[in-house]
Amino acid sequence: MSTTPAIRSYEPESPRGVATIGKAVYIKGQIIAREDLIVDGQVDGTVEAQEHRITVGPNGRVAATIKGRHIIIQGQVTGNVEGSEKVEIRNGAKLLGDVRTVKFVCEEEGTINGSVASLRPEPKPVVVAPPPETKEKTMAASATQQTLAPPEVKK
Amino acid sequence: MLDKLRNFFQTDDEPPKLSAYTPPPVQPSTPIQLTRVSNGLDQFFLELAGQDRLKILDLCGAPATTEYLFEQQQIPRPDSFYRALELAFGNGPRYLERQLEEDRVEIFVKHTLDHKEGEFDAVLLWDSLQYLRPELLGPVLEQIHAITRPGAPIFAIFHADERIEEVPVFSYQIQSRNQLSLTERDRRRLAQPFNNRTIDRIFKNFGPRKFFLARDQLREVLIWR
Repeated sequence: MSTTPAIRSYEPESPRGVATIGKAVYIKGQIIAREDLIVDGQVDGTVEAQEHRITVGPNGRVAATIKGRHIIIQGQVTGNVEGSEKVEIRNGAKLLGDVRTVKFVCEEEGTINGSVASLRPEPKPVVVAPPPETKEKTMAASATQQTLAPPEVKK
Repeated sequence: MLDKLRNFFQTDDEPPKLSAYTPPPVQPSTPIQLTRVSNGLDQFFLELAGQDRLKILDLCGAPATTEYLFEQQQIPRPDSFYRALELAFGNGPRYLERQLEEDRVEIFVKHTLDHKEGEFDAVLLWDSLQYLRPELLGPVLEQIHAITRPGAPIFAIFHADERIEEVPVFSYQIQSRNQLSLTERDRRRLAQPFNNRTIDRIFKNFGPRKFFLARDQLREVLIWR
């Protein structure tokens, strides 16, 4: 019979798979999250959760660059925001900085002071095949170049 | 920008009035909300046709407009110009008088529209200019000229009725390329009447202009930088 005491696991208050920075917390530095993140406190630095959702809660005061998959702003952010999927500015939120994302939503009472650019890659210039005459000329030119190239010196 | 202005101008409220005259209290009324067709805006978008990722400065900064321009593959730059105006000059009956104070004008111009030279490919001024006295209008237009690239289309609106003194201050939201939604935010006195001649004069350093007079007494103008 085992006498090992049962280990009681710690249950955080936030939902499973979500890290929370509470409203009485101040962090200065770099935050890299491998799960969804809620920032309801104050952060100065950078906040990254590349594959996850980052929510700046109504009490959140963030002076940082924020990078994530889906970013929701309800509080105040000073810094650039990059959402690889979506950026949402909710009512009462204030963003002072530039946004780069694929889908952008801003509620009526949300405020943004910065540019909003698409993260979609710029379309590559279409390469049009030259008309036959030009092609012949090009070939002729390259043939001339071949002719004019100095012959290899044999040892 | 707003924080800097807030440091200089501590309060949004009107200071207590020293004169004996007290204007009667304004009765709250239902804010006007309407939708209108805009030929000037249609022409503005025609100018941008076939060009993506253009930087467009929007002085009204309504979220619906930012979303619309973003969906059109442009780069909207919402600005809090109207809010900055309120911070610097107040929103009460003395806001025009305060525009005569040189220090106030200097601070406002220094901290507003603070962008790189030739940064924008197009500008949406909306009706912002009609609330500026010539003393403020001149420096603001100089700044707009500086931050806009040559040939950029600039869209502005003016009230066409020259007898009207107080007009609703609208929040302009783009619904489609020729449709606008207007929501009243406030009411203000006009700084001066703006007829075609006045508009020609204030934009004398810019390029050609095209006027659109709508049935609702709004004069839309497209100016090329």
